[in-house]
Amino acid sequence: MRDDRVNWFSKLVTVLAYTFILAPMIIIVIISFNSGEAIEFPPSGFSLRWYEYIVTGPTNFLKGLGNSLKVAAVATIFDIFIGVFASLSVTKYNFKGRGLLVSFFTSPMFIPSISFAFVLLRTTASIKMMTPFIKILIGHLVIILPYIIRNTMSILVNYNWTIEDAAASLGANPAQVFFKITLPLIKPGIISGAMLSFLYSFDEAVISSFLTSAKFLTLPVQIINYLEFTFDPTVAAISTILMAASLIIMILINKFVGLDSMIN
Amino acid sequence: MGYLSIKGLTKRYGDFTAVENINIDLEKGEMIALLGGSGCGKTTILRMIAGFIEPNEGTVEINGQVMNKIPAYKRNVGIFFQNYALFPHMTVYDNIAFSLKLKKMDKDVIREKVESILSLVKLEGLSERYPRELSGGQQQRVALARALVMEPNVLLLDEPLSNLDAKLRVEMQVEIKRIQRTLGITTIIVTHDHEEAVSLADRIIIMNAGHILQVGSPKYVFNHPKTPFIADFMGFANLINGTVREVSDGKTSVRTSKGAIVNSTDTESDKAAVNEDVIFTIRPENILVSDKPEEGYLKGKVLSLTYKGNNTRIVVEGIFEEPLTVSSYDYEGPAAGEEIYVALPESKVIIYKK
Amino acid sequence: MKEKRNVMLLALPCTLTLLIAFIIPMVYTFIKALISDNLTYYTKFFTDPFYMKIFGNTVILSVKTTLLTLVLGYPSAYFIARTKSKIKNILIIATIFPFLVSAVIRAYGWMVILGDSGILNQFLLKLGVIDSPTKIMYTETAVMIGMAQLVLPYMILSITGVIQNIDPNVENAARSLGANPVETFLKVTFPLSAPGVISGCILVFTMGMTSYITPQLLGGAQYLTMSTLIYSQIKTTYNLEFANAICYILVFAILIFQIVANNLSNNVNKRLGSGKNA
Repeated sequence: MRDDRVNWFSKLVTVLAYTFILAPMIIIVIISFNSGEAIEFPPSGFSLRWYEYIVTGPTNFLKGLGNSLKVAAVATIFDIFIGVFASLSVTKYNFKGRGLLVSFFTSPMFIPSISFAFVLLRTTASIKMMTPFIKILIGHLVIILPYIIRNTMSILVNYNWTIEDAAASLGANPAQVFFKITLPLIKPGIISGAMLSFLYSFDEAVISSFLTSAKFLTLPVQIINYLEFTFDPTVAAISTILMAASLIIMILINKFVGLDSMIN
Repeated sequence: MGYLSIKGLTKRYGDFTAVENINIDLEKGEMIALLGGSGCGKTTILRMIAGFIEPNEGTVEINGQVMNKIPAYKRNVGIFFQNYALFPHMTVYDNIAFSLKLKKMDKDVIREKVESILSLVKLEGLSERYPRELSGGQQQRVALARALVMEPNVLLLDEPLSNLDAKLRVEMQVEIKRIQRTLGITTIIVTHDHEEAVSLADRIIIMNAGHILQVGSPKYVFNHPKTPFIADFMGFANLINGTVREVSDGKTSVRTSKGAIVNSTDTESDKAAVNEDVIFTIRPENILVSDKPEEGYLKGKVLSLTYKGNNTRIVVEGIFEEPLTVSSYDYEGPAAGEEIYVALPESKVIIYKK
Repeated sequence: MKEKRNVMLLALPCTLTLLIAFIIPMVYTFIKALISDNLTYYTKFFTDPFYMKIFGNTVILSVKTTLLTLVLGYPSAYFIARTKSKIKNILIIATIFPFLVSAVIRAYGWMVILGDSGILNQFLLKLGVIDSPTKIMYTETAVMIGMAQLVLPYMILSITGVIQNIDPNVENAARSLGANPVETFLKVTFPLSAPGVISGCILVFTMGMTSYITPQLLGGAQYLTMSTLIYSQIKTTYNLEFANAICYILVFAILIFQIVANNLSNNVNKRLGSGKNA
């Protein structure tokens, strides 16, 4: 089929662009199965030794993984609650200063993470109760909040609010309207947004590397620290596992809401 | 004191007054139509009766009980939404059973009620479908069934037929009328279509800019619009200027600027004095046509012809300043550009003072 | 009124969280430093050519990254938006997937490729093009490559969305009126896609200015950007007050850029909007 809109030039650049985007990730997967001592391409043989080394090596990556999961889970759950309420307040009601409130809710997006990380480092330094876990948690729940709110708002903006009136006229009180009508209808979008925010927090390394301590390291920080001294395919093995997990999450999101909604 | 009684209802949004001092009384089982163009306030009234918005002044009473402080979900007012507002995540069955389940009714009772209402709206066998799997007409019946199944004290229909094609619309008009009669539900229907209002309602309320202009039986309002504005809205199409020439025992004679004389014996018309400027109107379908001169006929020229099935719309010029619209059944008269003769029967001509 | 109460109740938890965890610390730290040190450290930054050069380098790096992603991203976005082949879905997946992969992993991929004993050097040595490994890591080139790969998907998605909304018949109309493919593109397609290009560029430039992980891993201490400068002020020179000043310079630089750029893009959108009605 000849499609003269899409000419050879755009095809060629597309091939280049996606090679550029995907090559580093594909290479990581390939070298993670290397049987040799160092990073070799093409690999000298196939083995799972670097996958074993994740667990048997001197760095306790599993602990970092646990810490990252813990931070991401708590931050996401907390933000889903306050974020959905906040999104309702600015989509369900029309009032003066609504635009301003939306800007306020999404304000962390407009501030460089590095600056916020530094400010958190300074302001929490003198507070005794601030363990590294709490510090990183605070940082993460602030920076993922805008994404949860934007995602929830985009669902609610397209939501047909007369459905709520219909439910009320049929005898549903406000709580019943929310739990039987509104929530089931917005749930898929919120879950997919939550999964994305969870991943964002899980992968986040700027705030984590500023607020971390030797006692509480997240996985991305552990990887950065590891790379400072050792450059073997262990990180490739970890990365491959994490990318596989991301792929699964992407498939799940596609099932829930379709990938189109992720374009925003 | 009616079953549904609206007294002095007023709603303002800032400086804008959506509706002002509305008074409506409905008998039990009566069906009334709120007729008006978009933005006339009819939907605002509906939403205040349903309890979605609070009036600034006035009361809504159902069966003698003031509803103002009662939330929508406790009013037992069924509402049919223009866009149907079906629950997309529920089957037809669950949509209809929604209100019954909230009342914690017995499962078997719910099933029985849903099935009987499904057969009333002729949707048997579709109960496990989702709304998106239904046609527009079917969705509309589900929305109606869902509002009816809770046996509402009052049923509100917001532009129920506006999203349907012409054929389905006529069918559903008959259906709605039949169902409303069968169940004897006090009903308010909001519409901008005068034919819909006339064919469905026991009484028509015509609204404009937040005020009631006229209340009356369909037949009365159809034949005796109180003002030229209502006449235009009710499909009169012809609004012609003239001056009263003579008034004698129930007959008013009007001369138009081109000299043509038109008489009216309509007893409900405004009583205008001699030499007073007036506007008169007549329905296009009440005008008689002929292809040759006859006693009492006025001579004009056919400007254009539009065929609408059996009806032909003929625009005639040369008689009055304004072109005259005539509607004729099985028309086979003069073609465009040819001479035509028309008569305005005295009893059908309505006169308004300016 | 009831509505006002509902809005306040719903917005309250989020507002409190943001105030306590974000706004107050950001404002407090800024004002506290201003009171204790006046503008000492800000002056130091703006008068020392060493730091100004880093600021300049970061801007240049961001501009280069933006141009590179635009050159690669626009034709790709056009292809995705207009192709009818099934590869479209695969490309959309390939565009979204990188969003779900940590910047650490993606920078690591480039370390593997660009390192002294990395794949590229191994390959070039084997071919005999070079005798000793070329140094790419810890240079502007390495950071730019890493940044471009990091942000290219944003650019592609931003432009794809806009091109998809351009009615292909508008292009057909231009063709039927005698415009050749190049003229059609330059006079119709590209101007109509301007909003996506602009918002993509704003996003990519901002990320170039503020990203930390990629320059840290690929540029290290040898090629500093604003964000890695902050880190080095904390970890190597322990100059917290100066780091503080750089942090806020970055904050204000980005805020000013966003305000100016968004005004510009609003103007473009408005012009396109009125063009449609005319």
